[in-house]
Amino acid sequence: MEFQTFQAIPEAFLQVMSLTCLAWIAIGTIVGILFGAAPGLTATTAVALFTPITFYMPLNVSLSFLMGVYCGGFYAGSIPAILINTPGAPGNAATVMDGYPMAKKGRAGEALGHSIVASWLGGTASAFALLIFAPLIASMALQFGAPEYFAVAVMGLVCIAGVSGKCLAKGVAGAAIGMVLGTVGMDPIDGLPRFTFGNLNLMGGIALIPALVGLFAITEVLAKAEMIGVSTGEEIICQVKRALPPLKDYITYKYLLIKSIVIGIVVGAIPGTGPTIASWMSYNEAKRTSKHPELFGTGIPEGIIASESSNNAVTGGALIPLLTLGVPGDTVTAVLLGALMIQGITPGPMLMVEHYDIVAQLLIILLVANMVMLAMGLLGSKYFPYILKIPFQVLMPIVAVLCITGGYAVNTSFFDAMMVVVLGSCGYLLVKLGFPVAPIVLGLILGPIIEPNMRRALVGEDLNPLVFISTPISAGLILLSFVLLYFMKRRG
Amino acid sequence: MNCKDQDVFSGGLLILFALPGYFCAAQIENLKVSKLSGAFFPDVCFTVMLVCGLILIRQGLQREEKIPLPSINWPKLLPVVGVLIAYVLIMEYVGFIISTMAFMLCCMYAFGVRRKKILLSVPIITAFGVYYLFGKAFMIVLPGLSDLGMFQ
Repeated sequence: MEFQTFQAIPEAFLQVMSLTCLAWIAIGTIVGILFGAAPGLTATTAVALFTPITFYMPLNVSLSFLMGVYCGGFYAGSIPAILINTPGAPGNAATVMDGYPMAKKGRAGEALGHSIVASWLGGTASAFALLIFAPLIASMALQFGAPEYFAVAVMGLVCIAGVSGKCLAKGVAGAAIGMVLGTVGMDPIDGLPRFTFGNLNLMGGIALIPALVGLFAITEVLAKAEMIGVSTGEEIICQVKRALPPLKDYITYKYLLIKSIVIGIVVGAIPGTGPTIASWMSYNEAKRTSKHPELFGTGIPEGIIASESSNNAVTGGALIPLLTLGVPGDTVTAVLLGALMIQGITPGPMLMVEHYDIVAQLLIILLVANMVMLAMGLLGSKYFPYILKIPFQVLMPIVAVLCITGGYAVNTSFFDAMMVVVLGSCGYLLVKLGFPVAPIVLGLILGPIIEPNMRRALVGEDLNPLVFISTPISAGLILLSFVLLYFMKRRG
Repeated sequence: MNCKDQDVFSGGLLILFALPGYFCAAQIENLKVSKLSGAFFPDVCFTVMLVCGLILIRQGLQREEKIPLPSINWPKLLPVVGVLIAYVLIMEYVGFIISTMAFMLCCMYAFGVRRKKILLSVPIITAFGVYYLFGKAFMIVLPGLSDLGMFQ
């Protein structure tokens, strides 16, 4: 099977360079930066919240907007990390170590500059990695049958269940809850209703968008509602002067940069890992190999460069398993998977073969979005402290309105709007009990992939469960899942 | 059994959810030609939940230092959930703009905003802004007063 890799790229480039796409990339990047930087909101929330409006957009426009949100949101978590000592997302936690001390010394602009340049370099390099490695992995995945797809999806669930919470059992249970939610509606093989309790609205299943919006965004609104009147006591650093960092720093730290980017891409490409692991690994590696490790944590550029380049290198890395295997690399890509599916695109090896034009567009959009992100980050850094000053008492009701409107808009259904509230409230209680949200969502997304493949594989082999280890790939993946489970359990 | 431990409570909750789940799955119709019924996969999921529930209970009982149940600030949380439910319910009858303005006003007041200028301006700007953004930019028509036969 041949991939039309390079032929599709010039055409995709021309399509993305249209004024409409560029405008939506810019809007998406601004939205992503606003959400990533705003207190209590993340890139995941932004992608979940704005997915419903992309439903009515042409494919290239919706991809432009979502990729802009994705890149902008990933980067912007470093803004509160540097200016108020609170990471916007877990992936930016390592940036706090040197970003905030640097800002406290009156070098907030330089810290923000390092963060944006390192994020841009990481994001751009990872887009090229996606260009090179995605077709290779997809060509292997073309040999997959039902047992292999089942094994890949199970491995994705195991990974995300293991790393997204403090307790493995709760992560796995969360994935099972998500898969049960995914079984509501018509049976994909027999075509008979399941768990609909006579409600016609449930015949089509629990719609993905209301579930995403409810579980990721309403839970944030409710979490903030509980914190009313509780002061975070963080001081906002408002003085941001020069944003462009000295470029000679990047020549001095070139090996650190390359190492951090490679870590980001590799970690991002492992399903279920994500930016938190990548940025901490890079930060620790930078500190370990530094000639002056004692200066880490006092406000030095290396700390910011290592964590931020790695954090944004995850963006392209996490898209590799998503596009080639249909398994998301992290939480945001799990939401992106949902967004692509409502556009009628099913990520996987066949996407690479039959619609490489879409993948090529995605690559170009990712590169352009990183450029736009760089420009906005350098030009807008003076205004970032204002984003942090938006009171959440005003912001959260607006987010709630967007959640309900988004839930309603996809099918113009009040039932779906109510599902946003119900699933959001249930999700919030589960989060309070220590169940992570990401495996629930991934279970909901991957359940409908796992179930038919599992049943087809079993029926095809006369219900012999050994079918899942009958081929080297599926056996290897199942074994790898068990090994990962064992190590995650040991890690505690 | 110490139900005040978070893991024991969570485990119990999972079991309480899984057991009726088996019962509901057993009610799913089955095609006689199918080797595997539609209940097969839900049963697998409920079994995973049951096993996880038992593991959590065991984990909670064996641990010497108990994890306390999470403290939920119900007086702050319930009004917000109530207002959200009311928002969706009244939107069907009074349309998007009025329900959104009412929701935002109540929500911001519940969140502690007391400045009249903000309480009046933000709901109006948000309601009309979102209504026209969805209608004009995204071509998604939100329920309006015209749906109720008014202003036609």
